[in-house]
Parts: sequence; structure tokens; C-alpha cells
Amino acid sequence: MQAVKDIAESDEAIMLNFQQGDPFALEILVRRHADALLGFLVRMCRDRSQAEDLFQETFLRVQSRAHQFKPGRRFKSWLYAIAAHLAVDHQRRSRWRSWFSLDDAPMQNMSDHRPDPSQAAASEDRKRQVRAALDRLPARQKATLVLAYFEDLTYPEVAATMGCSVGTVKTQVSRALHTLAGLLPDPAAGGAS
Amino acid sequence: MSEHFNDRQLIDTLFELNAADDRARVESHLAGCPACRRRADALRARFDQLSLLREDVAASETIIAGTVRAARLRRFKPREDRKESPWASPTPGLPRAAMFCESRAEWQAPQRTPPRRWRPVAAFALVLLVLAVVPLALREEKPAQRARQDAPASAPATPEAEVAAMDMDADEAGMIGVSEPMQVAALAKDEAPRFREEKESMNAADIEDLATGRAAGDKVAAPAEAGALALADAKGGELAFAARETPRPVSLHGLAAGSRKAASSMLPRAVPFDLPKADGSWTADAVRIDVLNREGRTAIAATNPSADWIAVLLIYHAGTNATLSKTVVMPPVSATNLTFDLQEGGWR
Repeated sequence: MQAVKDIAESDEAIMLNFQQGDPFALEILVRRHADALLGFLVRMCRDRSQAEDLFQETFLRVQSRAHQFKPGRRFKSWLYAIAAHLAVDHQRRSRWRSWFSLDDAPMQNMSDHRPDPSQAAASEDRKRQVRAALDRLPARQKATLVLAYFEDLTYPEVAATMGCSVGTVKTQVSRALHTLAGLLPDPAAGGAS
Repeated sequence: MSEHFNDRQLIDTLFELNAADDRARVESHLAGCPACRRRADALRARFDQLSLLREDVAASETIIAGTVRAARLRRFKPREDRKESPWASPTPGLPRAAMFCESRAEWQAPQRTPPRRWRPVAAFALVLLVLAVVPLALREEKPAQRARQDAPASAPATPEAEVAAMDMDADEAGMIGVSEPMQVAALAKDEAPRFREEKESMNAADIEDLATGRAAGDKVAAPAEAGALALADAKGGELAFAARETPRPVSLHGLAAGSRKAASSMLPRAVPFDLPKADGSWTADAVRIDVLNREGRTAIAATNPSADWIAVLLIYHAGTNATLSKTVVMPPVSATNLTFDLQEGGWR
């Protein structure tokens, strides 16, 4: 019955139930968005444990600010707005640390499938370089890019999430990509540019 | 051949960030300009590397359960200024469960943080109070010390202290919590929960044992240690499980050492229930809630004698993560009319 309810009800309806006191509603929302939200936060943070901390804090804020959720608003946008705000804030606060370790912080438990050790090592190395490039972006640009590129949100959805206009989103993404073009490793050279 | 486009223009075109007519102009240029096309392809290949970070991330059950537990703990955190047990009835003779009505608002609506402008005033008043009381207390120190020595051990002041004390008590006594039969909750007939049957978790013998309390190793807590649980009808006809300590979290007894705190923290501390009638009778079917220890897990049986059903809610625990995972409803069994005698410490 619970499973049927999970499928049938929209996020917004479940959020409404939560506002009205349904003790199970939050758990349904947590389970429904767990993987995607954690994926977003992992891309935003430098390590998984930080991402998990932010994941938990995101849902605690969903709970404490449930009364601010307005009917008609898309829950996913609201959820990611909270998460993005936390991630951006976190990145800004910990920026000083990143100056000392720009190309470290290998992601834990990110990949368990390693067919060939040397290939896997090269892939991990490339991944670290890509991540380091992404981490160099200003926090807000990074959040905007991750939402648009990795979470497959449309530009209007990103705008709703980040609380800005579509034009601003496009400007942020454009600047982020232009910066990344100089930071990402050259795939032909097989090393950092 | 028109002038070449720069990287920004190419990037904006690749990601559809520019206006449609600008994009058409760039694409038209790319069709006839090998140099720009090569540059665009190089940029595309460079950005394709971002997909290395696109791999799926799976949230573990640990982080999900931990998040839900933290949310519940924060949501049902008792008011700091409430010193006596919230189960205590303000009116003598009225069932203590009537206090649920007060708790209902806490359950139903997330709390807004009240303005804190009063805090500096309160702090100042507290300082004045301390300055006035401390000299008096120092004068009466000896009698007070004697009184403390004579008095029985008082209950811990905070839930955390209660949990710690409970762990210690349960470890020492090896006790298992059983709710008081008088702690009943009401379920309106027209809101009777719809159940699903999931029999894979317990077999009929388990249920019979649970209902009759015959299971080997089941022990009974002293009345003072008994807790109270209740069953409420949540939205959508699902069963909501709720527990509240009287005076301590009942679930602590049933779980193995090391997981008690986790189990306790997931239990809501406020429960929505209906009021009994003015004459003290319940407006709807009463349910009796019993808690029994079942080899490393806590089983909570909710019995409704008049409706002939038994709902068994199980709390499993694995390591330090206790999870309310199943709502098991069994067909009526002959034991529905059994009650637990706290004085005798057994079922009758």
C-alpha cells in the first residue's frame, strides 16, 4: 500500500501531507530523492562525507522550513535550492582549504567497477583533474553548471532553483564553461592543459 | 568567409546559451569554416570529460535512515521548559493519554522558531534570581544535603540522560519493556487503518507467542519501568507507530546493547490521539500495545479486542541502525482478549 502511495502521489502532494503532519511523508521524500540529491552534493563537495552531511542538513531544513513551501511550487526545485544554498555556502566557507589541496580529495566509494587496473588508474587520474577544474569555479557558477549539466534541469528550472532569471543562469553557465575550457585537461594530450 | 568566432561564442552555441538567431549564424559559419569546426570539436571533446563525474551515486540505507532519524529527533524534541513527564495528566482521574491532544499540534505542524527578543531579559532576570537565591541556599546547605541523601534517585533531567540511565538499568537488570495495558489509544471506527499482510517476517507461532507472552526469554519489566506505546491512524490509512516514554523510552528495553540509543532516537515524542469521552470511556476501539523482546529485535503488538485484529509493528535493528521496517498484520488469533497483569507479571 505504501509503495502504491509512493508511486501515485507527487512530491508536492507528499509535501502537503508532511505540512499537515504525516509522520511518514518526509521519509518518502528522502528515499525518493536520496540518490539524485546525494549525487548533486557529491559533485558540489570535495568529498563524500561532506556531501552526506549536507544531504542530511538539506532534509532537516526541508523539515524546519516546511511551512515556507508554497503550493504550486515544484518540490524538486525547492529541495535543490536548499541543497545548492548549503553547498555554495559550504564551498565558500571552506575555500581557504581548497587553495592548499586543489587536485586531491579522491572521491570515496564512487566506482567499484575496475576492469583494468592501469586503465582504472588513468581514468581516476583524469577524473581527479576534471573534478579539480570544476572545484576551481566560483561556488555559484559551479552550482548553476552542476544543476544544468549533471542534474539535467532545464534553464528555467535552474533559474527557479537558484532564485534568479533565466538570463542570469545562462550567463553563469557560459562563464563557467568558458573558465572550464581553460582548466579541463586536453583529451588529445592526455594531461592537464 | 566571415570573421571567425571566438571560444565564448562557440561555447554558447554548443550549449544553446545564445539567442536562436545568433546560434543559427554560428552554425552556418561552422558549416563552411574547417578551422572553427575543429575548434568547436576540440571544445566539445574537452567538455565531454565532464561526463566522467556523471556516474550514479547511491545513497546508502545508513545515510537515509540517519537522515530520517535525525529529522524525527529534531522534530519531536521535547520542550526544554517542560519538567514533568508530558504524559502526566493535568486532571486527576483523566487518562494520561489525554495529554496527546496537547502533543497533537507538535506532531501536525512544523514549529516556527519563536522570536527570541525575550532572551536577554530572561538572562538578566536569571542573574538577579541567582544573586538572590544563592546566599539563601548557602545558608541552608546542610539540610539540603541531608534531604538529597535521604531522597530516592530522581529521574534524569534530559532525554539523553534518561537514555543513558536506561541503558545502564536495562543492562543491569536484563529487563524487557512491556507497556502498561491502561495506556491505550483510540482509533475512530471510520478511520480504522487498512492493513497489508506481510507474513514473511513472522510466522503464526511467533504471533501466538507474542500475543501470549510465552516466548522463551521474554521477561517483564517492573511497572515503574514500563513504557507506553500507541497506535495512531496516519494519513492515507497507514498505521503510524508512536511511542512515548513514561518516564523513559520503552523501546530501549527490547533492543540489544549498542542499538538502544538509535532506536530511541527514531521514536517520535509526540503522538496524535483522540480524547476519551467525558465519562472516561473511549470514543472508538481501544488498542492495547505490548512490547516484547524477540531475539535482538523489538516487537510491538497492538491488539484491538473488539475488532479482532492484531497489528504487529516490528523494529529491527542492525548494528547501530534501528529501522521501523515492517507493518505486519495478522488475522485474528485466540489471544486477543488476553491482558497483561503488571502485578502478577504475566498474561491472563
